[in-house]
Amino acid sequence: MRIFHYSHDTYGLGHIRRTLAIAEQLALDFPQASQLVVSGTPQPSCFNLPSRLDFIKLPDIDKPFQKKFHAPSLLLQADALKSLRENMILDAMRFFKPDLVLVDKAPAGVRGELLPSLRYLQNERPETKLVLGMCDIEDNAMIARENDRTEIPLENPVDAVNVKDTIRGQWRDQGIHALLENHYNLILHYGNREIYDPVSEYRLSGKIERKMISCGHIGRSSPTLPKEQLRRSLNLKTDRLVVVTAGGGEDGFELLNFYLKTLSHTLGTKSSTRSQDPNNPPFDSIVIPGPLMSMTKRRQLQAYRSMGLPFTLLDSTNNMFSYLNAADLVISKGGYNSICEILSLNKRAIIVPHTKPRVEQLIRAGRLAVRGLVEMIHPQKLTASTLLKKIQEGLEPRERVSPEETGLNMNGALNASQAIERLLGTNAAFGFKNPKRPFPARKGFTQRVYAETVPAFS
Amino acid sequence: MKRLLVYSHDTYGLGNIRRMLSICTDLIKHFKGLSVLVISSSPMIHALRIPNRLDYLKLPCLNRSEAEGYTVKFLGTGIDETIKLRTQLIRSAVASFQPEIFLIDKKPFGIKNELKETLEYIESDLPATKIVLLLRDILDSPESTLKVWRKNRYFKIIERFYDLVLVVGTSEVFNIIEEYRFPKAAAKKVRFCGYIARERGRRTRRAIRRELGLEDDPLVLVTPGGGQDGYKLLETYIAGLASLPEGVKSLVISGPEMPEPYRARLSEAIVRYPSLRVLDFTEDMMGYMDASDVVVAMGGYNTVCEILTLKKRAIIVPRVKPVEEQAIRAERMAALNLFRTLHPDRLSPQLLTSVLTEELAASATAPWTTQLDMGALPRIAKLLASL
Repeated sequence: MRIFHYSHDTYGLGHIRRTLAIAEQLALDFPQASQLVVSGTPQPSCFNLPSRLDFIKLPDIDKPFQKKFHAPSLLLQADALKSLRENMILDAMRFFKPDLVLVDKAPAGVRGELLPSLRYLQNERPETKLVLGMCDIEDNAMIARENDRTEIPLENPVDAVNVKDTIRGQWRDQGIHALLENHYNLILHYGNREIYDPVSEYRLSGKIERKMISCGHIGRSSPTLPKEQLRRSLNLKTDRLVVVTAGGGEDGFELLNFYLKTLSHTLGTKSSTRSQDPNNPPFDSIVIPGPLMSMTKRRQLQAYRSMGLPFTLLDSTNNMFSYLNAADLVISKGGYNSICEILSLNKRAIIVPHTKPRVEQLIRAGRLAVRGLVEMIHPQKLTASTLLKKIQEGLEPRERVSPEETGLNMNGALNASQAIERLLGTNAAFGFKNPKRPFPARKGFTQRVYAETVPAFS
Repeated sequence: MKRLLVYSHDTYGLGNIRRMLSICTDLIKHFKGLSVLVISSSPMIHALRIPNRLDYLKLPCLNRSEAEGYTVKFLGTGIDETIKLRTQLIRSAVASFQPEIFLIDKKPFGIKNELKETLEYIESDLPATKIVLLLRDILDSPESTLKVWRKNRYFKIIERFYDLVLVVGTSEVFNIIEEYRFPKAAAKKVRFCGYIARERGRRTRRAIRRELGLEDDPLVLVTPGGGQDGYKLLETYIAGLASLPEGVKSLVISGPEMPEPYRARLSEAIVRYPSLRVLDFTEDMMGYMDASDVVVAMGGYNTVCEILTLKKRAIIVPRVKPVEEQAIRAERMAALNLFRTLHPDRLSPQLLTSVLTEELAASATAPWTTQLDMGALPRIAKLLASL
């Protein structure tokens, strides 16, 4: 069997990681399948990929709202780039001959680049099954309006930005509803409808709803470096570790910078006199910029080190899950994957979601905070004293409820794979029952966790 | 030049793609408004820093073994259909991107002739596009290389399709034209560019030595490149650790492709030897190398360029099979007094530590001075501009 994954790539690494989580599960359940991932996102370390899976990485689509951070990677006209990608996706489709096409989040592809391929499938290979994977809370259509700068209430952030109209309008304008009704065979929602219900939020038709399966959030079970080994390699000064992450790193600079600024006010630096001795910090900090953060910004963060501030800045890591696992407290933005990882490890976390250009993180963080699963600080309420107070609270021992105990389904990948199995009719007896069982250990492929730091010579 | 397309030939390891990216990075600095599209199937390309104005198309990965020839590395599809897919993607890339220059690494017709269709298309439809071949200083022994090149009619292909053949090496070390007996028409297109000077590390020597908690202790950096066949060197090195002079610290960078059982054995060694640290992979090899006093390494092209750029004292234990490129490089360069070399068949812990002890003693007093032409990057830019 052949599975073709199309992964949306206009922003960050979230989409590709979600695609891979599903692919890993499919590799377990369909060990004979070849999986081809086509995306503009760089692939992660190939050693952590399932067997019989490979990538075609397309030239990156340009990212209009990021031009101030990044030069576009190729200086091509938008239409030249679009036709280049369109052709390559179609080539891949024609020569790979998939039985199943799994499209991540954008039913027509970025700027409609999938449409020629979908037409090809319809005309030449109509037996191919077409499946859409949807994030818990869709964000590609959630372009926040100007008025989102006003404060958004924690309990019901959606009301303030009128997101429903925006996504509904966009999907209507782009003909997405018709595409879902007439072309897609199955829609997988990688979320919990109790938290966010795409059917009512986006007003999807009954026909679309019947194709949709709410799979739950995608819990993680990646192997990690042992907690103690990792902590030892970091030469920590205390027994309390705060890990601060910016996810992929495209837009996390402000959070990391604010964190370090807050630390520098509290701990003082060589050049200033403060109440606390930087050689005896109350807790250790690891700051992880993420692979997409620019060098300039990394250097700005690194500058806090030359001021004498005690923290570890990781250049990059393939071991994010290991670092989160080693943490006592995580400070993060509210991206889908970061949140799924935090929930899977049942870590205490302070989430500072971004609110622009989309509000998806804010909604996600807010709804989880209401359930007591994370702490949230609205970016407009982010002050040094709020942050420090939450950190101190976060490092105090406390009983935790697990996400599952609050009724959250974290078996997204397993349920998605089972739904696909049913669609393909390979095992009709294997019914979809939303099983609350732990996701299985992933076998059948080698996973490697690299040591990226070494302890100092004593 | 506005649009450069690059075909990088990779089956495993980081060597080819790293060399290509350093060339591209330099060209981007040199040519204002240049966009570079790299076609690669390196499974490791994600681990490298991609400069602005460069993007890449990564194709499904292939593998090469002596017994089976090319196979599909990960995807589990047949080789012929996968080559067809790759051929089609490359052709689409050329047709959409319309490069002014198409720079091709090593194989004039690509893997399994997958470039043939594209070069013919360029010949008929894009006559203004220049086609350039890039060759490493040394490919393999003259015997093996000639056999492959004649069999695949590479000289004829160069004559018909190529405008220029760039060699990132010097004729002083290895004269490719003579050694591989280039026919006149192909030889006329060859330019020796010198070796590639590597960019400085991300961190300074001081910063890394501070991170490692080193004071004045000498540091030996041991690197078998990608690591797929470097365990014997590491094992021999570790077996000799106890007889190294007191205070010497060792950092092994085992490489991302070091097989799992060996990595486990390295972890055991760390426990036994407090003067040993092991890193699986680093993006800052130049930084670590700069922080070291002597380098023990295999003889891959990039590692050697790093050593030569930093003028480090080094002991090279080259790979000698299946390809003899490293062995020839090590032997020729050692003869030019650029570093010392030990043949892997002669390698023993005693020999390695005694040579290393000499080099450590010398490194404290006499920095290495012999130098080679390291001007490949500016020369390549100039030659491409002249097209």
